[in-house]
Amino acid sequence: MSAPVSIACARARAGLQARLDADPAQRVDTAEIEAHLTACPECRAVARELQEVQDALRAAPLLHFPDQALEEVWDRTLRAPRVTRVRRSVAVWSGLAAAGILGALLLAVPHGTPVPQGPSEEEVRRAAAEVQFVFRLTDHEIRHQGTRALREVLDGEVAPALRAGERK
Amino acid sequence: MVNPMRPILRTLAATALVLAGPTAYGAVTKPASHPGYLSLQPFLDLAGPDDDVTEVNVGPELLKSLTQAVEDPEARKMMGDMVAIHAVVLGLTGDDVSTRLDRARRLVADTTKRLQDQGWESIVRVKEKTSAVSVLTKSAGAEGKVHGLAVLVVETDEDEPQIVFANIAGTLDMAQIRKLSSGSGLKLDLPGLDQLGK
Repeated sequence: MSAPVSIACARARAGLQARLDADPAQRVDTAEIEAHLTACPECRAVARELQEVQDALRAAPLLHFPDQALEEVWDRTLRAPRVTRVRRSVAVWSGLAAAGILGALLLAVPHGTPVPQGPSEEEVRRAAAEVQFVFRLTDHEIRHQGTRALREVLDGEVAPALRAGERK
Repeated sequence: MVNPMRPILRTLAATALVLAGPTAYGAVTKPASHPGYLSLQPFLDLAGPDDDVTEVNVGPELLKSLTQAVEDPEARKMMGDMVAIHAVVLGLTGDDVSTRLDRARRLVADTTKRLQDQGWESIVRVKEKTSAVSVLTKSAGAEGKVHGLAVLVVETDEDEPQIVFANIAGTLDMAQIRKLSSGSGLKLDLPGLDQLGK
């Protein structure tokens, strides 16, 4: 269990986060934060930790994500129900710890490492069979129509014309 | 009031995002948002408890793997442009077959009309005593290209009443579709393929 945080520390840490976040909706009193950091070693440590995570993320290569993929990641992280069920104080610190670990991992994992996740050979073969099934089905229906159209022309136009010719 | 969770979670999410990059980036867009994609659900809803139901659902991930496995360059190109291939075949049995066939005929007619209203073009339409067939394509704007193809069939033959709905979503070339209908078909030469389904 973490030690209780004073109101001054809580204000300073919220201000630190808002400053790192560059959130225009949040008022940040830089002078107040700096004054508090000068006098509070715990908050200085928090500030250092936040800055390290931010620096690690900034150093990471910028990847383009399609909007939909981004939405899916948000759904699996920020919007996942389990995040909101965790007690706030626990979530904040475990989130920070997790971010640190993930940040360290990020620096350790070489970029472009393939993720060996995907369908098995059997699944691919089955998919090929299923795709062929759908193609054959489509093929059958389109061809069936061609035969039918030909039969209609033969029955409706060619045959009557031939019969008329025979009668002459 | 400042929410202390937000920046932390944002940091965490951003980190997870970078780490999840290869997976998330590799994941193909959901096929349901593709203009050529149609839902199977209305046809699946017609299934009765004793029916023979065959459902095919090949999504982007499987198609991607399949594309990599196919050797024929033309087939590979064609597969690479596809987003989803799915179908349902219902072999109807039970006491209420005729009622459900009537519903299926109405569903085919309604779906055909709805799709035409949405810009799909009917390339085959047959209404006979024992069958109703509708094949539609969604034009992609470019010459000869389509975004999707839909096949809707209701066979009311007493011996083998069945309902078929198939949908291919992706950028398809009409020439490829004609090739399908010429019987030359698409060759997906994967070892062991013939053993499946036996």
